[in-house]
Amino acid sequence: MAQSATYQETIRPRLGQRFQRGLKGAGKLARSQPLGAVGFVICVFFILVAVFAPLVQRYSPTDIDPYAPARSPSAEHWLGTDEFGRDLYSRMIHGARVSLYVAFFSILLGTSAGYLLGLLSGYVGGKVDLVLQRLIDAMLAFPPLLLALAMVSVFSPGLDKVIFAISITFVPRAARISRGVALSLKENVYVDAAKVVGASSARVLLRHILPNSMAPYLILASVGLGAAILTEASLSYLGLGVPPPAPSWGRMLSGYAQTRMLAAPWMVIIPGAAIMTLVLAFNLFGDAVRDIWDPKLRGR
Amino acid sequence: MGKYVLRRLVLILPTLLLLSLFVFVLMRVLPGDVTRTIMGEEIGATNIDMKMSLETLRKKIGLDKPLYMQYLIWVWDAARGNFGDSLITGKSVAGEIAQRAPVTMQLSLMAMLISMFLGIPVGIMSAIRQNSWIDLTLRFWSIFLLAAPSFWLGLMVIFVGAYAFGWLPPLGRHLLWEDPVANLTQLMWPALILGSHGMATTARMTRSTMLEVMREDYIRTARAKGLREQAVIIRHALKNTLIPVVTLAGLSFATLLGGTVILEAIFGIPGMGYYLLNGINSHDYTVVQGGVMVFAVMVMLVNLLIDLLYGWIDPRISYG
Repeated sequence: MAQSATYQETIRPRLGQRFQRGLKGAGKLARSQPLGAVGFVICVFFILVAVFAPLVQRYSPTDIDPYAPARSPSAEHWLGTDEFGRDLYSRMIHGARVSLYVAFFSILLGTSAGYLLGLLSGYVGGKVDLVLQRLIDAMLAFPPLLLALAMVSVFSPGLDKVIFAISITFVPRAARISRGVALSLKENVYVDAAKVVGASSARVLLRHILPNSMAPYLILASVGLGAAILTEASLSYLGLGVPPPAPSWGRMLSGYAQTRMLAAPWMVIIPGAAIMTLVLAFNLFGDAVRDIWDPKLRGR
Repeated sequence: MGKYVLRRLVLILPTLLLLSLFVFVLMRVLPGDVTRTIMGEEIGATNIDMKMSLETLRKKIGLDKPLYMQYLIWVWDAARGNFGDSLITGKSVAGEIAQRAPVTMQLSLMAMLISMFLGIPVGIMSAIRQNSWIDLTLRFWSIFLLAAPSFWLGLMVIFVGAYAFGWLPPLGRHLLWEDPVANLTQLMWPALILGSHGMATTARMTRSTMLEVMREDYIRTARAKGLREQAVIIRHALKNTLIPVVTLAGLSFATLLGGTVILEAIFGIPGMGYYLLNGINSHDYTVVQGGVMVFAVMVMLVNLLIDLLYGWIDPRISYG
């Protein structure tokens, strides 16, 4: 009976078994990186809150209530109100949307662009590499916040301008790292083999170099998420971030909250704590990712 | 060695030019009219005659000339130390920067020293007592400090200070050699906050480097020779740990300088960061250009210094 039974009938894992195995694997991963797991859970929590913000809010984040300005947290307003009477709880969860949106897209844009640039520079070498290196050095030498500030101040305020400005700050470091990766990868035998068979440089880059350099890219991206959120918060605090009335945690810390800090401390404590928690979660997650995929890399 | 220094110094020039071009073009690409912004914001300004027409203002700023001419004029002036006048207040940009640069330099240097002198011992302590309570606590604090936004920490410091102690940081310009007490009380907290990020990073870097170094063969030899653990650490492990750590700490000077912008604004410190921030907010292009260039020069000089230091500390490196 066992001899003629097919794989399909006997040993192929059923869906339930697959799920169980997946869970066990995840559990092992979580135990090997407990802090990263905690960070991941917190990240997921924030992401869920941001995604379901319109469903979880109690008031609209932009509804002004002139009869209830700067109320401390109460049953009516869970986190109090700001100077215009807007419910802080609703503003906070919508602020999560803004922060996460900006962070994700600026990291995606900046790290990808920088990474590709570095790969190109490292692989092609020669004059292209030289010129690009000078450019990258110039950008690296510059305080990232200042760069983002200068860019945002030039353009009229807007969400996409902020994302663009922040993403530029990630380009040089990504390019640096990917250039090193490309330099080492192009010494591999399979690259020579591909060239012998007649593959063009583009093909070699796309099909051989790129897939093998994913690990540093993912590490860069996950480690940079925290920095992106901080930069966005700093820009918003300085008034150069996402324009009002869209709520932004950084901007909620300036203006009224700052000048009336002693009278309404919750307005300063809550957004700041939220920023810190989110950045913390992303940092822990990014650290775990790096530990898993590149234990040789030193802690930064 | 001398040739290397010279070569590096010379290389600064094209990098600076590239950067200046980048900033210059960025400023000029603004959609909208600079002069209108200036006139609109400055009715009643000290230096701009209200009767001046927009055209005259444009001529005065030099906006009527083609872009490359504006750039060349600016570069030529800047090379001789003239960054033009502020479009808003009319004061010389170079003069203002010269006045404010010492404050910002002091703040960033203090922050860098804090990050190194606190971060390195913390990292070493973490490494030699790996996975102990001390290690875990210190790592915990490092991770926290890394995640806290600097402006929030600044606000919290002021809040706690005012609420619990009735203390506010002193305002105004106090130079270190004129009024050390006021100067230090003013700069202590901002430097601490600014350095906290760097301290956390340095601590983590030191810890992981130290852990690697302690696994090396020469450490085992030192112990086998019979040296006390303390001697092993100080005489052998430390130097090798410090090399990459110091380099990285120095290279993060750029980020430190960026952080001064926010912290100076919060604590009301009259430094370059605050000046630049005001310039950016009021679209004062001469200020922004001059400030950005000076920042870039400072960063590059510090990077050069770190490179030289690195070459001097690490005996394996020789610059030809």
